[in-house]
Amino acid sequence: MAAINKEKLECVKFYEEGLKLYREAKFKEALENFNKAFEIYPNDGPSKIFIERCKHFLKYPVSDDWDGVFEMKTK
Amino acid sequence: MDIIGKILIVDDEKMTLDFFDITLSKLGFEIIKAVSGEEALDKLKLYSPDLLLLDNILPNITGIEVTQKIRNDKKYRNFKDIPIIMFSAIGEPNEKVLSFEVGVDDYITKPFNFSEVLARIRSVFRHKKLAQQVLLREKRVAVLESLNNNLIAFTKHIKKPLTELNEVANGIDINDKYQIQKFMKKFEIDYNEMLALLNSLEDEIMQLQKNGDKCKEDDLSLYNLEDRINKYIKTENKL
Repeated sequence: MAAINKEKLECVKFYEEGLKLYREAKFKEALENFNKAFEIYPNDGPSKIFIERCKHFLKYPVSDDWDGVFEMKTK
Repeated sequence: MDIIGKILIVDDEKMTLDFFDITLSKLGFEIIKAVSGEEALDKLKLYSPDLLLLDNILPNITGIEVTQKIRNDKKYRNFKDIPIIMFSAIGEPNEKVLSFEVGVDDYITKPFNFSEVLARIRSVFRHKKLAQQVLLREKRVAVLESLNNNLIAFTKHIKKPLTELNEVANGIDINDKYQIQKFMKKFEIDYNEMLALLNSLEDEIMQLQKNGDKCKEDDLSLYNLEDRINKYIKTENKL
């Protein structure tokens, strides 16, 4: 079995925390987490995309009718 | 031949089990056999069949009791919607009514005619598939509605940064290199951010596409079953 990469685990932790905060529309806190994940793995595509999205929503806040999350919301 | 469905057959008469094992296997069904209600309940969990052919008269627990357990007992909640066709030698109307009340989908009186059994299997599968398809499509409609809402919100939202970019661009003195550089920087940042938003929208659309393909696959497996049963019935009629 391959040894678990400690750095990778750390990166995933920050990413997941970022995602959680992002979904709660806490873009400032989410951005901090994605930045940390991105620092560990500078090639991490998903973190990069979320960093861009967080920055955007910090400049252009979401409105009442949209929380900024594209997600399938089934009833 | 591809397996078109898994059927669990429960009867304490070995002859019935063997008969169905041979005939239904030939049509492409995988057959699992059980000789008692207890064994049926164990094998239900073990094999997750698509259909249950259940004799009512069994040692210890009856077919009706097995049905009640499957439909109501939390232990079997993963299987509570499995189609059940009940067999019995007794053709008493009261027993039939009771069977339907506890939740069997169809009832066949022994001695049975194989073509009738097949026709009922087909009808039960068709019913279940249609119900599943309606559910799937309902979900799809809900997802499409959600996408629609996202799209409306997104288009409203994206106008603001775009308008702002346009305003900055219009206000630039084209002889001022510093202003142009500043605008280019802003443009690059805004472009990347908006592209990241567009990507997530694209992801959702692709996910929807995938779900749509899944619906079509389910339709196909039903056609496959119908096709095989029709072929069988046609050859039977010729004999």
